[in-house]
Amino acid sequence: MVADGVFPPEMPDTPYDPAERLLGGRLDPEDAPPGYAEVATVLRAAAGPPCPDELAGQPAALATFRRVRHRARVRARLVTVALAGTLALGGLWIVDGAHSPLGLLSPSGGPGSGGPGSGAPAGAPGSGGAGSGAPGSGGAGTAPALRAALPPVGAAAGEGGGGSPELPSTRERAIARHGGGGASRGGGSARGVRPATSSKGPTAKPPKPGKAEPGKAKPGKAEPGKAKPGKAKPGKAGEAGRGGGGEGR
Amino acid sequence: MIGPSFDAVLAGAARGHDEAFGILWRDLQPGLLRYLNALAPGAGEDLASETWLRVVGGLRRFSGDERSFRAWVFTIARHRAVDRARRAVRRPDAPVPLEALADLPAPDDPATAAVDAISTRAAVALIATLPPDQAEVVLLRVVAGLEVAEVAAITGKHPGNVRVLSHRALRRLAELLGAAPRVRGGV
Repeated sequence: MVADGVFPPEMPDTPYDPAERLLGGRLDPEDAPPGYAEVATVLRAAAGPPCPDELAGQPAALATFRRVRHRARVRARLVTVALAGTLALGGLWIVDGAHSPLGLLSPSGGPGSGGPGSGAPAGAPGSGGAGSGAPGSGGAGTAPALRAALPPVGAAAGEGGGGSPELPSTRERAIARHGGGGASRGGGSARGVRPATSSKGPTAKPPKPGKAEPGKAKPGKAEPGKAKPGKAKPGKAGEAGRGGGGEGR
Repeated sequence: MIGPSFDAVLAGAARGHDEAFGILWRDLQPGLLRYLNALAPGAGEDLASETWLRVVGGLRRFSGDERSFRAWVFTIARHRAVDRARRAVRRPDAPVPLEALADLPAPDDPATAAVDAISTRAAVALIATLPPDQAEVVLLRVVAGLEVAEVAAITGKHPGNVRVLSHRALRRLAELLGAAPRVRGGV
């Protein structure tokens, strides 16, 4: 029989503990305490090398692995396509100025944003190339939720109303369509623009024509698709505010 | 244990490389089968397959070393076995698998006495005759190669409790082997 007290429960958990060595397979049966040589043998056998029948299922396991990975890849592609489709639809919605199902208004069609008719304010003094209409004309009009969701346009407004190469193509198209080279995007132009000092807003000088890019807004004219930026200097985002509408936000 | 190359193997398996997954599978499958066959006799293969399905699904999200990985896999395996046991309770007419009975050691079996080296299957079957919590602790320590803390985390027990259970299991095993002279002589 086995003597009690060989493995007291309160035995410390150290590598030298016979029980721990037994369980870890580090105790030879010859070195085992009396009565535990067989236990050491059994434990060693239990942790022995794999039997062939234990590895017989490897082909099936690999086939399952391939199938699961393939499914995961297909699912990832579907998600990507769905995401791209959603983004494309969102872009079209913005371009077309349609009403969203949630009642949000697109930035180009929102009240006060100017829309197609905002070309006139674009031609007003001060709007210049930025063409954002009167100060604050568009910023308040665009649906706030939408504005928050859309990425900042950056220095687009300050670069001559749609003349910025950083503009996304959909927005560029929208701006060109609604005329004024960003006139209709009064609210959008103000977005992402570095806040300008309000005192300078009304006293801003009309931007000088020049450095115009084909197909961009022309100062004073709100001809659709013919926006000609004025003073289209890169990195002059702050001037958008002065140009008009930049402080709409 | 895979060793220092484990990280590369795991990364390869996560990227979908068959060979890397095969290395993981060959390293863990035998222990999984032994553990699961003791927990749910006759259902080890099915439970191991379910376990690997979960493992494959979570490979990309797993981060940790080899010990953590082993503990994770055996945790999944245990959950599968517990789920199966719960289902079995709801359907108590599940037949007892014959192969599970065949693996049980018999003290009066001449074949058992004849073998010089006890087979792995017989050893696992002998451990499986212990009380379930003791058998589980011993298998996780011996077959899965986990430490006390890891076993405690998997089984939801205190480390001291795990230590006590393993010591009792060893004592019980010694008594079983001592009470079977022929087996004892054979071993």
